[in-house]
Amino acid sequence: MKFDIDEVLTNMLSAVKKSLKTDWPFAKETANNFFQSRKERLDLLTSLRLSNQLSEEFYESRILDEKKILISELHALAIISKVLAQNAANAAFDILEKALKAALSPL
Amino acid sequence: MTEKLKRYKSLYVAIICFPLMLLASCRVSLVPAYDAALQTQIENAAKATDMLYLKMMDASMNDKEYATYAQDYLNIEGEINAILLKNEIRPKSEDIVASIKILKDYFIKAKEDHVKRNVLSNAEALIYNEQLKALWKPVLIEEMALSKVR
Repeated sequence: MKFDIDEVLTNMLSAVKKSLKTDWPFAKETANNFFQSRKERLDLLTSLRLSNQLSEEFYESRILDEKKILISELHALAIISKVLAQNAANAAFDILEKALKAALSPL
Repeated sequence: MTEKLKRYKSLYVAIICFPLMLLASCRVSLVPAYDAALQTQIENAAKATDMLYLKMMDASMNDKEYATYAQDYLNIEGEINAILLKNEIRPKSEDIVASIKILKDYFIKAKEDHVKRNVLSNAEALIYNEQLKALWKPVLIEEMALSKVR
């Protein structure tokens, strides 16, 4: 029966790093996608206003609505962050569970 | 005493390790479980919203009146309500519910603007469509993110 806490903690940390490395691109791509879409929408809104196809009142209301879109996007990024944290924590607990099972198996 | 300790060593280790085993067996849960049917429902409702404004932009001036699209507005609002309700009864879905409520408020506002003015210009319909797409996107991404839970 062997339970090396240093080795287990090192392995848990490696599992957390590996999990975050796997999930990080999705978070990064989503944030970039939100940013790029916002830029394109603001360009469109401004060009339509400058060409007088939108009234000042309509334009200003839609600019205010961009704040609500940003809040919704932040909620989506919060969910992604929670998924990242959940995956990382469970990967670490899996390592701990395996190490404890191995240590207890001779009993 | 030392002999006794040696004899019961395995038992002591087991007693110490048991709570650790329980802890290690626990699964951290911060988000709701992924629902593939709900993702499909979100995709379909987003597509219906897009179709509403595409049809409006494609129509002649006489066919841009609110009455032509009233049923489409109602169908989409009903779908948004259904998606919201499903999420409200899901545990740990506060962020998703918040996003859907923002979408719902915006959709109702866009509909009321159409009711009030009866006809929307193509530029206005285009902007409403783009902002509604931008509000559907976080809702869809939230559900897709749940599919990445391991």
